[in-house]
Amino acid sequence: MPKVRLVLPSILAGGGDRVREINASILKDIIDYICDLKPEIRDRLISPDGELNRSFNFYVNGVNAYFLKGIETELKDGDEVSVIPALGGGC
Amino acid sequence: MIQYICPNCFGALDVVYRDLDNIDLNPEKIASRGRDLWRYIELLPLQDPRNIVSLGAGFTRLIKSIRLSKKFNLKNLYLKEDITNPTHSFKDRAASVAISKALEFKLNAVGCASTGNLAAATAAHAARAGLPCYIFAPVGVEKEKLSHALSYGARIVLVEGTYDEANWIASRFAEEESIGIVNVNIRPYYVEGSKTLAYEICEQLGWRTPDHIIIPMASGALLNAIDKGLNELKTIGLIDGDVKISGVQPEGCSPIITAYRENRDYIKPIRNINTIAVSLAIGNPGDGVYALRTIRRTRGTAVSVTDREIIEAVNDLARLEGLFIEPGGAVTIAGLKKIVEEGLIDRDEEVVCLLTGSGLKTPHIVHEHALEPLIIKPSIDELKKIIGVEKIA
Ligand SMILES: Cc1ncc(COP(=O)(O)O)c(C=O)c1O
Repeated sequence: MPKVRLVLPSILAGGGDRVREINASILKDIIDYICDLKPEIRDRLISPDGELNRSFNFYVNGVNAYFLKGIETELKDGDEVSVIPALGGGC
Repeated sequence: MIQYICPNCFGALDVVYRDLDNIDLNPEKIASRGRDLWRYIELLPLQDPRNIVSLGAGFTRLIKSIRLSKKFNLKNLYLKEDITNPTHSFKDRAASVAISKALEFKLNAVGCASTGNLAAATAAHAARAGLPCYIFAPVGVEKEKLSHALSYGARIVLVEGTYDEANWIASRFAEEESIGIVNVNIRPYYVEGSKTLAYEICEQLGWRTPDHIIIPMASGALLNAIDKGLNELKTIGLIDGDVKISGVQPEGCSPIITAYRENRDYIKPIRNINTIAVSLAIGNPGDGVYALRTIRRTRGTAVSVTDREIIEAVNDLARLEGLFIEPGGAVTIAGLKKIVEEGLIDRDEEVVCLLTGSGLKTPHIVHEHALEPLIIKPSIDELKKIIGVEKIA
């Protein structure tokens, strides 16, 4: 499996490192990893029909994975996946 | 670390005031205070008033329309001209409260992600507070808005991409540095500033609610803030009555409207954006789901308007009411026209349209869509040849 750099927001890092190296070949692997850390979060990350949900945005190398292949987005060695709370707040 | 996300549902946090129904606040007390948004200080989230950073934002005019209301055959149309704020948009309200709170949190720096207007508002209030300021904006923002922010000494970072990518970078920065990004990690305080628009409208109507408020939407935050403000005044007992809240987006960037039309309760983000209302260009609106709920709960509506309809609204505001408003602010008038045409407004209904940004920041709209200036030699004969006295008389 490819090794990717995962950057978590502090609310998900739970006092641990925000930046972690993990093995993942698609974005869904990352989601499973986060759900292992915080099982109650699954339905905030993906909808019942398996779509990326909207409490968090997932950026793969700076591109919102919603516009790639969603949870099926393929990852390769050295990719950076950054998870950011989906917040509004005007502009 | 500032807490800005709910640790249970991971949604955005909002400020809640304890014991609102027992608060010692009445119209006379408010009327005796300064004419800016800090006149509502009990309803603003500051612990120590010495932290207030104010350039005088707020208490802008609520104008009863004469000629536009004739055009739409309405009896009670009001225009909330929120452009006489220090940097000429409603964002000064949000920036004043958020940056005051940044001082209270003893943050080292502030900043924002911006589609244009928030940039200058944040930069100006940061200058007043003596804090360094970092602005993240997509490359397409109007240059007038950038120079405005630059003039206050802000550092501007233009991100090659959309607003959503600029917002992502700003969010990462906020996670990694001791900085208050007004619409990210100090967002709960930002919206407290915006909600004062609702307070003012009610106060200016003599502590009454209008029947209907029409609001421009980008992220949807302003619309929700207005709703929050109205609900607070109700809880205190300063107003009663229900207000329909409607939202307007430009057709070239209308993910919230699409969700409303398709009867969805979630937003599908979009990436291909094309509108002259650049300040409303958010393809992935963070407060969109909440805005949808508010619109439905209050029995308002949601409409999108084309660039051509926006330009007509900009021109109508200027030529019929003497108000110079930018496209992002004028969408409410274009939206009103649609809502009237759809028969969703009674002639007697009291309607307030928010006008949230000044036309001075988007001068190219005028140059493209108004008469060219006439150029003549300094000769009265030449002038008369071109204009003809009989036309003026
Ligand atoms: C002029 C103007 N009106 C309205 C808005 C709407 O803001 P919101 O993101 O709160 O929906 C903006 C946002 O930048 C704006 O610039």
